[in-house]
Amino acid sequence: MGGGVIPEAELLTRCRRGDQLAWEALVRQYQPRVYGLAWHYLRNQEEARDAAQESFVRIYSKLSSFKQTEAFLPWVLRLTRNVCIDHLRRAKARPPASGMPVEEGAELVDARPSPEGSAISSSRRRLLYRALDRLSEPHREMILLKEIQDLPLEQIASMLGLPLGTVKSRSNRARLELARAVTRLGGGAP
Amino acid sequence: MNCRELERRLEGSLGRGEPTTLDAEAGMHLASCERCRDLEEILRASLEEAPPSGPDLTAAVMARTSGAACGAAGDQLADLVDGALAGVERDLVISHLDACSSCEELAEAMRLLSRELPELAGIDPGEAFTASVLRATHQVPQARVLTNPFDPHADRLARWWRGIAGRPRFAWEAAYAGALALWLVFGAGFSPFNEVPVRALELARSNPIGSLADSVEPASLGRQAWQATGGRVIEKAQFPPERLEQLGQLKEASSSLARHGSTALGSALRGDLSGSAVRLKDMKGDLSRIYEALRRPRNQNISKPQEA
Repeated sequence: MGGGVIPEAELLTRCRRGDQLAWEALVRQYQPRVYGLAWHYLRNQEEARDAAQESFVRIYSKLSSFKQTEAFLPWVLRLTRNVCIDHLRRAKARPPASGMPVEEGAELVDARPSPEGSAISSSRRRLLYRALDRLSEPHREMILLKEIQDLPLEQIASMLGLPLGTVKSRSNRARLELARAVTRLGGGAP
Repeated sequence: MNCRELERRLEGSLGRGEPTTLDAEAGMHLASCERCRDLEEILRASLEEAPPSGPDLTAAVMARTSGAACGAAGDQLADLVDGALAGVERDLVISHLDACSSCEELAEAMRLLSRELPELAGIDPGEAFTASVLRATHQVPQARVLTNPFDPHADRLARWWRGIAGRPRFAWEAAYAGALALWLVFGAGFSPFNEVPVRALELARSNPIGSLADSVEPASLGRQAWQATGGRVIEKAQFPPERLEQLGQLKEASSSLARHGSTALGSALRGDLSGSAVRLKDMKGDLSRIYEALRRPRNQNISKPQEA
């Protein structure tokens, strides 16, 4: 038995009143995006789950400060990104758990989760992840926020604290770099 | 006919790419002049159709002049794929792609990525994830939703305050404003409270311990300590009834002022501006009562407590 799609504004209003069912529905609705963003930042399933959970706790405790005139998803992703940055900082502060170099670890693409409802073949997905791994950190983040999460450039500029023009040119360069990486890996065309 | 005349005729016809037939006079000159025969042969050969030079020639010329245009095309590939290029800019990039297979391949890869990447956005974290989030948020207090009609103003006020208080020189400005406010309230000649410091000093000199004793709650440890020490001294002091009444009023008004101030601050912090405004009005009343108590004539001297 499937329920109808509840409008986001209605869900938010109910959540702010303390409706637990509405909160559960909101978590179910946004968890793929939150977990997806966390996974792309942290590239570790366990850490991504922790970060996603922490993000939802922050979202819950800050729901009253969210202005319903704004878009909800960018706000959620902004909070998630902040949590991921905190996780990365903490991870840098502690010694690595094993002697495996980061780049080598990043090549373990078989362990990567399958995006929800994706029509991309698994081999193609592996190739895309390998190409993403080859990007510089700022370019990978730009691809993640702009191309994967589909955030508007204005939101990204505000999130990263950069001028809009810088974000636009960085986004274009990142796309070109990714296209080059995909082509070099032999995935220019399916 | 001389060589100069023949060259003029040849340039006039063959130089424009037109086939020509020379007259008998010119033919006689050609038969006798080897240099002019060579010239006619070169001009006729230039008219023959040449095979296409191909993109290699363009690439070679670009390499020896401005450099390859792939970088400039690459800068605009994203806009081209997004359909954000128009007019001459678009035509120029497409023209480059027609001739440059590597850039065309990049553009095709970029088109494909634009369709594929959004599919990587959502990843299912598994069945147990929602339950774990609900467990984690079960005990987390959710910030209270402000529902009073002053919400928009309170929000704007809070934003303004954060902006003001966040500046580095805020502490200096606050200290200056505080000093100015103190002077306006207690120091300026027109202030109704300008005698308060003097009165307070007189009161403190007259019998501070007595005032404190009145404010101590009965049965408290402080009260017991007071009765064992200072109370005995005070019992021997001679207070006129008017002064005792004045002290009582002062004590009551001061307690009320502190209580209302605390409530007003609490209401303001919770965003309840209307409640805070009501308490501020109460505080005004308390201040008036303190002022009235202090305005009593000074000539009601209090007899000093006798030596114990």
